[in-house]
Amino acid sequence: MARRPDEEYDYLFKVVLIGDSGVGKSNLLSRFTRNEFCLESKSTIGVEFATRTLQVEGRTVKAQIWDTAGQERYRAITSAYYRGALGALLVYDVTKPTTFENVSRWLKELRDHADSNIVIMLIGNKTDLKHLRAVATEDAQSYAEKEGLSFIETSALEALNVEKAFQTILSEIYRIISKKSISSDQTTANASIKEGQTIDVAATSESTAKKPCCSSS
Amino acid sequence: MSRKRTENGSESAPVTSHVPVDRFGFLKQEHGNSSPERFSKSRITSSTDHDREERKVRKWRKMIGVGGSDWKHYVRRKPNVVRRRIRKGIPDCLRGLVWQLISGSRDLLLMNPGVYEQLVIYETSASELDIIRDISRTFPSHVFFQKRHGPGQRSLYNVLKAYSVYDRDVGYVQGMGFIAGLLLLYMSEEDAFWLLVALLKGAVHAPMEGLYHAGLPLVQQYLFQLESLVKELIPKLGEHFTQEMITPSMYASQWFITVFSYSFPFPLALRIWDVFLSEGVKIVFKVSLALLKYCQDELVKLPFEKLIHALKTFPEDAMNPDTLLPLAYPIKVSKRLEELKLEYEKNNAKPVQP
Repeated sequence: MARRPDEEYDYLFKVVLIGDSGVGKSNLLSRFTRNEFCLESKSTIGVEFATRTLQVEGRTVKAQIWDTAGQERYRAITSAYYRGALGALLVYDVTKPTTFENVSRWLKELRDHADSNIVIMLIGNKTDLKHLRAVATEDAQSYAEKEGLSFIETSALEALNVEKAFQTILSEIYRIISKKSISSDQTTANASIKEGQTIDVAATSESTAKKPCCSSS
Repeated sequence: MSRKRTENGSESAPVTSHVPVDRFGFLKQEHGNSSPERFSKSRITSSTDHDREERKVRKWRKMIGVGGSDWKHYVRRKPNVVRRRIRKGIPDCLRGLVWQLISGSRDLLLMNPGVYEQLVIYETSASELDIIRDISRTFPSHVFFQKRHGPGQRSLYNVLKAYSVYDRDVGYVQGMGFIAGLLLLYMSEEDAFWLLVALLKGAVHAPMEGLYHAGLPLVQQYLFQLESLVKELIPKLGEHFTQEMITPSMYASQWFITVFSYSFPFPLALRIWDVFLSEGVKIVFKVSLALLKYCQDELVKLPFEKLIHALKTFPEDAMNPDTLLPLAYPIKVSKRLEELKLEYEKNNAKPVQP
């Protein structure tokens, strides 16, 4: 299928946004893809989807991001979207300790349903609510190190670190993918992936020597 | 429900807010649920339209009798007339009452005096925090629900909390708020609660509670049925969806979970609800299929991403109830829905493929 110039990209990376309900996943997505923030947004029912094409390590990367409903009951639907995802942004709310405590449950959820080498980034959102902060940066940082996740704090409202969060996870995915492509001599394979399809990491890694994840730790 | 006063003053309920709202109470600058201008005004523009509306209301008043006293008798005598009139749209001023009559909720209310009050005042629910978290995220662009801790938000909280206690297996699930919110725009808290009970427990039609149970079993079944029906009735589009790897959970879960109240323009959602309460979930399939069919020529041209976007933002003409509903009514689904349900149950009895 012929693609128009504005849809050209070298890589297509599928990323999922997960985390408890109300932590700000949808606003992180709208800030990143449309530079918008809505204080009075509706709760997400099911899954939503948005994309943005950007430069990562000198390559044009299209990020295909799936935003999921956070309530536990919805995992029956949303967990299907973990499959084929190269990255997961696991979001908690720095003003709500329970959303941080539930991070381990979300990690288990990813281990059960996602590809084993998915890149995971822990995000503490809503840093603009300074007077309400209830999860210390250091606690989250050390938890992330222990679990081998990268970590950043963001404010979707103030557009703080949102760009950086996405850039970081996409760069990490890129580094893993490009190593794989080189080692399997399929540098061009990923570039020709049709829109709507996702790169199946599990499938490619079978034919190549499995590389350890190059997370930022 | 507070309505905007129209030019001829036919809707005279006082306006509670200074912000400009449409005739259903949604803020005008907002999109999403707010009704496009031409729907909000076209209903009562000329005097002939106005007369027609008046005649319609008179007919309806006669049919239901004082406080609904003649309703059951009329339905028994002339079920087809009732069905036809409901399909044309229940007059807005009688909607709340008629909804309670056709859903069976009025009977539940009369059989259970004091129960709602008990649930609201004396019981506590494990879902209270979950409900609170979503209250301001339910119809945030509607004047009634906008004010923090205002009467709209308080009623919404009470109804959802009462339900989560009444039915602890369901508790509270995101999406129920939009249904409760829609009902609260047309009736009191207690009436809205019993209508929710009537729907989820199946007073007249198949119970909806499976939409919200752990694992969302009924959502999964409906999505399976819809996917099959799309392939059978709109084969070209079904084929395109398969090619582009579009599954119905990407666009239709919220159609079922909130019965179109989440993102459809309000005038269309109301008309669908009129029929939904009278005829059951079939209409959700019929409207879904009619909508996809109506937009098919555009949709089949689109690649994955644009397709997903298009499936969440339909063109205005497709969202006009007087265009879409006449296309939906003739679609036959009952028999296939029944067969597909059995097929789904059979498939899911087998061990799940890895």
